Amino acid sequence: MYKIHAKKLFTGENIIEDATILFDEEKIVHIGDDINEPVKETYNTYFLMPPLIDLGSGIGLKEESLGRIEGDDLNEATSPVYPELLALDGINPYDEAFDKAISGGTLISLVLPGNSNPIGGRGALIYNYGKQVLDMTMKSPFGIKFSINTEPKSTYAPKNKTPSTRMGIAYLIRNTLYKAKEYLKEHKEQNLTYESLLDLLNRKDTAFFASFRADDIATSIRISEEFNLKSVILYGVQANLVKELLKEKDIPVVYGPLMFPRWSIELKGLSSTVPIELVKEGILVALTSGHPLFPAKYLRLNVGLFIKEGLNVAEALQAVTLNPAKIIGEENLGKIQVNGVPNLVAYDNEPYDTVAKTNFVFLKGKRIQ
Amino acid sequence: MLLLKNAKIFTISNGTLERGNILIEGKRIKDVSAEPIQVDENVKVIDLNGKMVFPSFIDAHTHLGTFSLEGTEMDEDGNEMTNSATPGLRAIDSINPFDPAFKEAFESGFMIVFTGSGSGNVIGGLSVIMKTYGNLVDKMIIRNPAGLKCAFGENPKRVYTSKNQIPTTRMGTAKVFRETLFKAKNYYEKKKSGEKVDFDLDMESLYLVFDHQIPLRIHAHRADDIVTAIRIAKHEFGLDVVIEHGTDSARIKDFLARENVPVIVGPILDVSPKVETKSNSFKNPKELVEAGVRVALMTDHPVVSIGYARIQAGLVAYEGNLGFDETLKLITINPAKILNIEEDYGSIEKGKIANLIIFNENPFSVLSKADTIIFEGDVVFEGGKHV
Repeated sequence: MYKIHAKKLFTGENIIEDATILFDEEKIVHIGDDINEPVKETYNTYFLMPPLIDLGSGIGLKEESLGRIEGDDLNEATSPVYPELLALDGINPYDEAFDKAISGGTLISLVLPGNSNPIGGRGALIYNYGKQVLDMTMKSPFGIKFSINTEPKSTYAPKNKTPSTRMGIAYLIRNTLYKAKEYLKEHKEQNLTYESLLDLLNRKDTAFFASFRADDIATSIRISEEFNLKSVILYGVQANLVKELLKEKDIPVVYGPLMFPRWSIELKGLSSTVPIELVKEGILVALTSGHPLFPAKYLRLNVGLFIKEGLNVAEALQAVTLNPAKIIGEENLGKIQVNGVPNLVAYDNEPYDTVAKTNFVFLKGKRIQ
Repeated sequence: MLLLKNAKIFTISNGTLERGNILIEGKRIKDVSAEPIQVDENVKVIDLNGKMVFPSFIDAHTHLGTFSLEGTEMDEDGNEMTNSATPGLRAIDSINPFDPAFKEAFESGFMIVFTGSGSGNVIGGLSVIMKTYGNLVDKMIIRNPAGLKCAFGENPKRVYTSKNQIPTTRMGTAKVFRETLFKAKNYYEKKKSGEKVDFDLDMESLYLVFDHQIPLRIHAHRADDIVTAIRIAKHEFGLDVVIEHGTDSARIKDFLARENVPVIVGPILDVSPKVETKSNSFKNPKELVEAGVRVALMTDHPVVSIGYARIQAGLVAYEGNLGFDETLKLITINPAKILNIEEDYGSIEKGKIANLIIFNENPFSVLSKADTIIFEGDVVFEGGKHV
């Protein structure tokens, strides 16, 4: 049994002052006032919270400090429709970014293939810690990556191959989903492409539509409706322009990467005020680092930008804890609660600011940092 | 005239005045004092009630206006990748002052930037030092040209390998660089001695370098690339060198201190995107500073957005343990010295240009926003808004 005293404890829902938490390798057994219970070790910290959850990351797929051949496995840009690719097969647990991410408090990632393909493949929900991917995996395959933005155009137009327009992107996605639906009904000869889409058509898996511009977000929602998919918008730079639609269809937005420079016209409108507008509209909003666009390690600083624009601290922190957990249907991962998994991150200051450092990180009750 | 009173003044060059006063006349600072400054009643007085005043921050290496924010492919004007040595190019001809990055830079306190071409070519072109406030690039210039951009390591290799042209190796980069310098040395010596030369726009840029009017600003990440750059430019040709990025420079910090070559470090708030950036760490600036290397900090905007330059500096101060005051120097007086503009900029001192930024809270905090900005003696931004 371990004990932590925290000046501030963010439970995933609210902040409790001067809280004590007791846990073992299995679960959290107590949250609240200090109690007299024999423990192996006692820790003190200023701030304690659930780990940051980074949805839509390329961590481990596009590795740090390596070149195109050696370390970049983000995009299999040889054919535009590849739902049968699995992110798990490309993740290298020895990517330096994993240790860095943990040292910043970002302990959980939903790794998705890149943006080159209209249908990019299936993701993996992992802990950013482990010697091999099976140690790290919570759920795989989980999440199907769709890309409705300019990247498929810029990838395939030079090859003189569909898609070279937005219509082409939508055509490929729609055509594949229709065929997968038919496959589901008629049980034709086994086909890995369509097989990979069955969970999605049965609403057992979630579509992550990578869209920046408002019109692309609307297209994502249109296709999602046509096939009755459970969907999430990833990046969603201009989501504020279609917030009523997002609200009406109850589609969450994983916004960001906020601190990424607005390299292209497609990123026009990227601002911390947009996700706040979505939160106020009642839309479920999480923040992504978009690693390697922005380092997963510093996702915490994005929370500070929310607070700077006036969101309260608890709501802002939810965007990297409870909200992403809800989006992937794993609400418990975003909370510190009695009987919950002891995943804990401790900081010596406000976690969303430059001055803070992690004191320690517990994964399933085991100190890993 | 304008009097700022009751301010916490970070003079940079003469410590911090807990409760001080600054008198501004025209564009310049007339007086800085811990004692009250008496003025006529017609002088405008702003009581800052303990708010913090800093000199304008300076970003010593950016691509502001050449790689545009929110731009299309047609707005990419930072790399003329048609020839590996293009010293005759001038960044001023690519800079778009309507790039939204200028406004972001200004509002975050960076009123002065060094900006220029990218690192696609071994010799890129002439860069400028400019203000971030204004509509006309010609009026915003502080110095043009202010340096000649060169690049070693992966970038020129990658660009010209894809074209199957030299350089495809580090040796090739050195050859292109050395050969151009030989030609330029010849051109310079002839012209300087009054001999007639056939006009060559490329050689004219290098003439300024050989004449020690401007330094070579050499992009190099890996330690061996830094050494190669110094070996050729400084040892073989006697030129002035500033190292840009210097991601791996901590490894050769004593050499850099001995050579008295400044290093402009960064961008750090980024993943390590290349093999040569493997040593990227917020701990590097402290190591260099402690070894006695002259250091400034860069965003390399848009690689790290200049709007987040203060956050990057905060991580140098806290995660990198350099501390607040030392880190502050990396974005004020140190770049002013390296850019050779310290006569006018880089600290709050009598006689310097009154570019001041005022904060209610720690400017290195993610939550901080500029409260007031004084640009060349005028209050242009107050209460978080443009006046």
